[in-house]
Amino acid sequence: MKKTINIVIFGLLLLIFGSFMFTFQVRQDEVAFLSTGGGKPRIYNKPGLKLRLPWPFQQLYKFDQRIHLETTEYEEMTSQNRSSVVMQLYFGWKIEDPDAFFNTFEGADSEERIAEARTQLKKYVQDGGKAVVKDNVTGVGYFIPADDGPGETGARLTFAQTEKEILAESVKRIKDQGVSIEFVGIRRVGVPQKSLDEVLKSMVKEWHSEANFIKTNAVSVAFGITDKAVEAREKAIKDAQNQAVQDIDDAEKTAERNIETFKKDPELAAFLMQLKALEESVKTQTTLILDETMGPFPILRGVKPFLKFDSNGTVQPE
Amino acid sequence: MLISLLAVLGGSVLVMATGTSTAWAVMIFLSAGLMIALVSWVHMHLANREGLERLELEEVSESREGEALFAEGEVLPARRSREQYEKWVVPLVSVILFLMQAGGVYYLGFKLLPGFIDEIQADKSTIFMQAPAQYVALIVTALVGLILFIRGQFASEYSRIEKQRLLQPASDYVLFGAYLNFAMATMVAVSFKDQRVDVYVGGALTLLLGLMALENLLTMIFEIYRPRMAGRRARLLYQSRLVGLIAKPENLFTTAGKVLNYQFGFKVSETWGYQFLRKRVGILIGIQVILFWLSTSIVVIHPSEVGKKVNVLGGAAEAETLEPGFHVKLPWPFAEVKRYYPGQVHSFIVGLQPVGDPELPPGMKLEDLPQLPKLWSVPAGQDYDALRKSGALYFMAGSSASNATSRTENILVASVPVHYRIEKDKLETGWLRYQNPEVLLQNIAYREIVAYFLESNLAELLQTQGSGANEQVLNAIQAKADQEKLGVKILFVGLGDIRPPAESSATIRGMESKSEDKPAATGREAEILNMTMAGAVELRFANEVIARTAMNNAKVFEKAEAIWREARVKQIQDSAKVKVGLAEGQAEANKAWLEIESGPYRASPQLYRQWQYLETFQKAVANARKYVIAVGEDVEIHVDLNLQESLRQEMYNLKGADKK
Repeated sequence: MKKTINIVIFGLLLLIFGSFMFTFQVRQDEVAFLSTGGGKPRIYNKPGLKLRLPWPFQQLYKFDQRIHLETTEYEEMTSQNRSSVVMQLYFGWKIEDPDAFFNTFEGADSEERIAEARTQLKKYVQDGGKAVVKDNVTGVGYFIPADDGPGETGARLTFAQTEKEILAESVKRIKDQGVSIEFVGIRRVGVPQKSLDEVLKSMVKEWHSEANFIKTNAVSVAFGITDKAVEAREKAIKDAQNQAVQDIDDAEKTAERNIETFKKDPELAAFLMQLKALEESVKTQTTLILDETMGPFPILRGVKPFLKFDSNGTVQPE
Repeated sequence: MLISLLAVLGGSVLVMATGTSTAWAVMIFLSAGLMIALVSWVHMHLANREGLERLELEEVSESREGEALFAEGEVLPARRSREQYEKWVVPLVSVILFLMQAGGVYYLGFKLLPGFIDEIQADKSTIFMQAPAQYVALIVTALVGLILFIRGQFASEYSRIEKQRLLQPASDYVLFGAYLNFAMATMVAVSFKDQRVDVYVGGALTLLLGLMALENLLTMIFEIYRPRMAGRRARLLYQSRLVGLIAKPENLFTTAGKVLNYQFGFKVSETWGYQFLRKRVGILIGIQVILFWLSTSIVVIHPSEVGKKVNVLGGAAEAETLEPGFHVKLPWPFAEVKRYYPGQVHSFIVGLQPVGDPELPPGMKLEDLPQLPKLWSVPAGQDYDALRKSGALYFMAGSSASNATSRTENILVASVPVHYRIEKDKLETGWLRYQNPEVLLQNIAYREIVAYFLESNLAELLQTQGSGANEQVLNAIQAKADQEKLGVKILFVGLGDIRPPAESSATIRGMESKSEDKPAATGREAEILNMTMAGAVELRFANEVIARTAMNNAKVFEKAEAIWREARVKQIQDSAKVKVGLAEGQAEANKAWLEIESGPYRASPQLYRQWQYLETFQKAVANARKYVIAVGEDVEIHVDLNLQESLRQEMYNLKGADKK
């Protein structure tokens, strides 16, 4: 029993290691190269299980034929106006011609060759980016849409157009290397680290000025509103007062016209006004010291003159 | 000893070829084994000499009966040499062995492995060994392992049968070396798939080395206090129980049997069950291994998962799609299943990554921590300082300055989460077209967000972080992903965490920007230089609040003034109207009064006047205090009147004053 188990385990191990050493599989999205003794390799680009001899008799190289994604460094590039801009690019590439690819990129194994290709392609795309930036881009502000009309904006490259230019530049550099660059994109764009403080300084200045302007402007407008309101109130009151004075004047003039009536009986008017004045003047808080000759008080001395009726029945003094 | 030397040479080749942590650990173990083999060999040589000397002495003693010429111990030089060797050399070797083990633990655990772990954390598919090195390692480990195993088995059996206790430590180490080589071979085999296995195996061996160093130290300490009894042999100082256990695991059963016998009080080790277990444990473990291996042929695909099965031996190079449920495949390594999660929502963050959850003391939950406010002026995020120094922290946006012919740039910090789902029906034709599609999607998201920021200005971005902007960026990312046929559905883009930099222009580069050639800024220039961007933005927003408040106050004041104005004007108008009415009324009344009184007056002027006079007098003086002095003419009197009134007139006529 123990022997059987040992044989089974040994057989399994043999199978596992044997399958690794004597076979290899080419998958649908792979291409393989099998080199015997370091000679010209045989290409396997159709999927399936293949036989091989173990290393060092045969060396196997397998490459993924799908689109590989690479991202370049966030690198400073010289711009058209001799300043600089920092840009990071990404691109997709794939093995187009396996034979040319294998012959172009050196390496002890598949990983080394792929790593070599990645390094080279990154360099090409980076160089392409630098060329486009140097010829066209003036700085980060280049990609910021300006309010200066369609004419100048039309002369500038957009984000997408810049990417196309970089792709065209990069493709020029990878001729006959068995790879194709499928697309290039701008991942990010910025100002160099050494310019950050200047940019930030101008930003702070701009925002600080704007903050002050907002406050000053608002306070000024608010003062304007309050001043205007006070002025309007004062003017309205003044106008109303003037109008009132005018109305009262008019009313008094009308009253003056009524005095004309008094001229018909001036004595009566004077007498009545005297009476009225008397009545008004002693209405309250008045102490009168009178003798018997005033007002009705003569009567205190008796009812004089004495009266008698004449023959006609008329009252006559005695 | 030669075998151990061969093992060390093999270990050196492994270290030079692979440079892996496992190879270094194996090399240290094998070097220790070589030292033990050397010590053991000398020890055996001395013991042999002693044996020969004893035989010689016995022979001499038998030939000269009764003569005790060589009876004294001092005349046995071989024995004395062995004793001196055990007294001085063996402890010294044990100390050197301990130092070697401790040094190995330090080198592996604190120098080599941390570097490898960092590399793995940076890139999971880091290559530690190239293919030729792997093949060399496989050949060397297989060859050396096999030789060590055969020789180790022989030496171990020999020492057991011949009761050669001095041979045991070296034979244990030779067997242990064989197992180490097999472990290295397994590690190399697995490394064809995943090279991270080196760190795991290297870590485990480092732990074992540490345990052996500890065992060695404890053995040396116990040796100091061990009671020395004549005729009783002590355990060898350089013999490791741990190595013995690993090299000859069957010893474990012997020890366990003794313990069980003692504990239960009868011979448990002689029962059928114990004997069966002892004899068949290898088979049972073997069956377990085979069952475990066979279990790798069963695959369970969970809901929201999609599996892609590739049979290596079958030759089917096209991946077969596995839907959720149970599936059968060839056992490892003849088939493999890669899992994808198209039903699940995946996410990543563009820009500054949030700070991870802090390490909490036991018993404390994250919710228990006080929630600190996220302020613009407080920089927070993963690798914030490193990103700031490289400039990669900042995004660029347009400026709000509208009078410029071309807009200047602004800097901002953003942390934008993006959620997406892989479309199941486009997994093959979209997502899997790319070798690393997540990277492409992240790059696309970066591109669109950067482009959106450049098209906008900072003020807009800070003030309109709403669903409109989110939708615009989401649509842009979706369009670009569709253009690249990525096969994903963008679910959410959150532009909520956009903030101005927390730095001032003096600190943004991580140092005071005062350069020697620039004069020190003063006044407003210094204020601008030291003001953080977050501070400037906050100042502007605060001033906007102040401005709005001032405007509101002004408008309220304006309304109040209008109300006051209208009321006052109305009051003046009404007052004027009253005055006008009074004047006119009085004039009219006077006119009417005169016209009424004119008739009686004309009828009898004298009587009318007298009558009116008296009538008016009566009314006028009715309420006045009157003193009538009626004493007649030419009479002089002297009257003192107190004209001061102590009460007002009304007080004399109080209601009810006459009631008594």
